[in-house]
Amino acid sequence: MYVQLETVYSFAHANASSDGIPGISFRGADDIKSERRTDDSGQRVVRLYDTLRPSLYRYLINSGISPQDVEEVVQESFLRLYRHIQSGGGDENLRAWVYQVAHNLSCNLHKSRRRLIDAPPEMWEHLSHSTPDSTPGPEELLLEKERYSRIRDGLSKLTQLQRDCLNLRLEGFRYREISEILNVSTSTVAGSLRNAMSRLVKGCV
Amino acid sequence: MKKERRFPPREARRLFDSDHLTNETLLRLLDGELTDRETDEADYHIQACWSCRSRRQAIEQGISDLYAYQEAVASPYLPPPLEHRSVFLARVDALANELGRPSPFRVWLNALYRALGPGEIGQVAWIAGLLLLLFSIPAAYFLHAPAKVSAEEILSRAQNSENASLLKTAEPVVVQKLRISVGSKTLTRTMYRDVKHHRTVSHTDSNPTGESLVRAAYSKYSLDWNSPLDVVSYRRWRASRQVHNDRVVQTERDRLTLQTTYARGNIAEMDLTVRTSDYHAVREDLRLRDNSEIEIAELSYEVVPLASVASNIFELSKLVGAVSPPPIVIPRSTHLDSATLAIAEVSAEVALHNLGADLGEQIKVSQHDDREILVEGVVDNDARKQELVSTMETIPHTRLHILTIDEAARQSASVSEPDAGNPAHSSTQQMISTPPLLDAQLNTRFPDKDQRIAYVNQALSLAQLASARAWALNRLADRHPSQEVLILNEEKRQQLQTLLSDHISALREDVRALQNQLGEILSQSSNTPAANTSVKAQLEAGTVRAPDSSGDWRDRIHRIHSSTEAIHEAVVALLSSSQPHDENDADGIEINLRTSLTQLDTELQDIDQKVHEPSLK
Ligand SMILES: [Zn+2]
Repeated sequence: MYVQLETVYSFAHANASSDGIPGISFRGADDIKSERRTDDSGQRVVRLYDTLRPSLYRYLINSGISPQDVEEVVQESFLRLYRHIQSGGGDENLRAWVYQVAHNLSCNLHKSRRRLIDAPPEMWEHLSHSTPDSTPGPEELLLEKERYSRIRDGLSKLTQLQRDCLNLRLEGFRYREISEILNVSTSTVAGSLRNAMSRLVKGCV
Repeated sequence: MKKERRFPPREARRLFDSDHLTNETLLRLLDGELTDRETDEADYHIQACWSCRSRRQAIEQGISDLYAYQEAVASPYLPPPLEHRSVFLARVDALANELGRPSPFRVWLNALYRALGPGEIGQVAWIAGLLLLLFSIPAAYFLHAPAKVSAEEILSRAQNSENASLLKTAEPVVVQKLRISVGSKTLTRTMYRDVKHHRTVSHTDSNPTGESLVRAAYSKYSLDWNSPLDVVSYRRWRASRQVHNDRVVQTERDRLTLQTTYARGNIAEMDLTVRTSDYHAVREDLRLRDNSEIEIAELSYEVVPLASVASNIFELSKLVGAVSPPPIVIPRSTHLDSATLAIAEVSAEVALHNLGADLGEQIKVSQHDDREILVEGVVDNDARKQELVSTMETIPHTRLHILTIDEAARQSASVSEPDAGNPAHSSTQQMISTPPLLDAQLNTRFPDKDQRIAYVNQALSLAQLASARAWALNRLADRHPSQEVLILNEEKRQQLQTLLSDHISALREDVRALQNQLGEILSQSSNTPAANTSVKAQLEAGTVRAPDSSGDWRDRIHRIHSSTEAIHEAVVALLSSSQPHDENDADGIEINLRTSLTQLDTELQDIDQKVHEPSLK
């Protein structure tokens, strides 16, 4: 687990995918080999798309991207990944690579179309009707709703960077990975997470 | 296994703050982001320390709450819809072709063939994929071409659109059907608005209880029941607020939404949606501070000539709009205790404030016979009157006596004298005749006459606005002596505080803006010893001294009020005087003006904190 983290990734060109990182790869004069690799990379991208799509959805929705834009961001990210791989880009931690591209794309959206960080009405709808499987009593629902409201209010007071750090941390990225995705230092990540949690957690000042 | 150290050495990072672990250390510990040695050290401390252990637990709880919240937010959209997948495959395929490589889609298709055997499916999938691809182009387009319209542009275009729709008819009547939802309550409302004669009549499909519930919500948040989705009133309302953030968002292909969050007040966010084709306002979404929501959506909009509407339709409106009795009948005979009255008074003031009716309009709030709160005054027109009445009528123990200018003129004898101290009507007329003291500077700085006039007008209106604010504050201070504040309940006391702090922050902004505006013209070197003049003497009398934190907030407001008045007068003297002044006054007035502005700013900052104190008396 940790071993992977020690690798130094080059994210500098992650977004400028087509001119990517020069490969060390086995892309040689051998046509058959090259073609095989192409097929591989297409399938690989599709496989990654299938695997990562649900969590990317969750990430993007929580970053405030409106649902109708999410799929477009996801697809664009994976298309860039395809170009990246095709042009011999590095293979390490493609998951973080995809998240970084998705993050950058949603920053572009941010200025124009981003919604307020807010729960969709469907969720409150859902909360106001009791769910049959967990069958929480009205009090539990109320408590849940109250807790969610508190978190929502807390989130609305965070800076963009703090929210980004939290969202990526929730996706399981380590501080180092987050710092690379967001292009900030690890101590900034740690500080942002600390401040964000102080706002969200009662009695943690 | 030895982990490599990923952070600066321990000396550079403090695990402890005095005796306990810092929040950052706790979070890093939970996140596995400490080195082995640090982890050991932190764990060792936690075993011994209950305080840090419970803080760690609180953070853990916070993390799991946050996780649950994020899951709940995303869950309506998960799993991602399957139909997009074929679009993606088609796009990868297209990209592969573009890059001159064999298509992975083909490969995938071949795999599918192999799995399913030959058939029509490939062709169908291809066509479906291409069609979906075509549909996704607009989304892709918007992704790279964000809409660029400013908030102000949207509002003014929406207003123009509204006006344009009325111009086509001589005596236009707007027939508008709206769906209004407050929480889970939804009703449909049909409105007839006679624009020329300011008459509005409406009915809803709901039973009276349903309607009154919705109306109660309306008045609770000081919304205008009689002009929903009305851009003009929205702009006016908006102008009286502190906008926190504006964002223009393309919500659908033919819809633009202006999302505005407000820093203060009941309404946290107001989203106005317009059609992109003609900027007609079609929808309003309000998110309130308590997280409840109100949604107003237009179902239809039509402008018809008055002649085509049944002639008696508006006859009822006079009864409904202007003089309808409050829905709650309050016994008026009994004397009320002073706490109830004080509470009602704050409610009335808050409602007036939210309507922007506490800044210079001739409306007075007072207690009448220990029985009720009397809200009386004169407003410009019938529409404004209805706006006030519909909002104020639900406030308990409140009697309204509001007249339009026409009505007041008709029965001029019976109207109580409007408040004498009202500044908004006192100053504007007295200008021109003698040249202002800074005439020369004005001419040098703005050789163009129009520019000069615009500049002076701007400065004067800022000064006047500040003066109106200070006046409103002053009246609040007068109306709420300490013993009255003490009997307020917590909620009303907070409302009073919000009201005060609303005015204070607005005044601060006005003062800053005025400072900037004046900076353009005031000479930088006016340090001649000031001659003793009337305005100067007044300035000195009103000059705010170094704020002492012990003072009563009312005293400070009185001081702020008189400084602001003095500043106002100085600005008038310097920029558009009508009273004869000695030429030599200019320097003195200028210096004092500058000092007063700075000191006023300090005092305002100070009182802003003061009125937020939980123990406000
Ligand atoms: Zn401790």
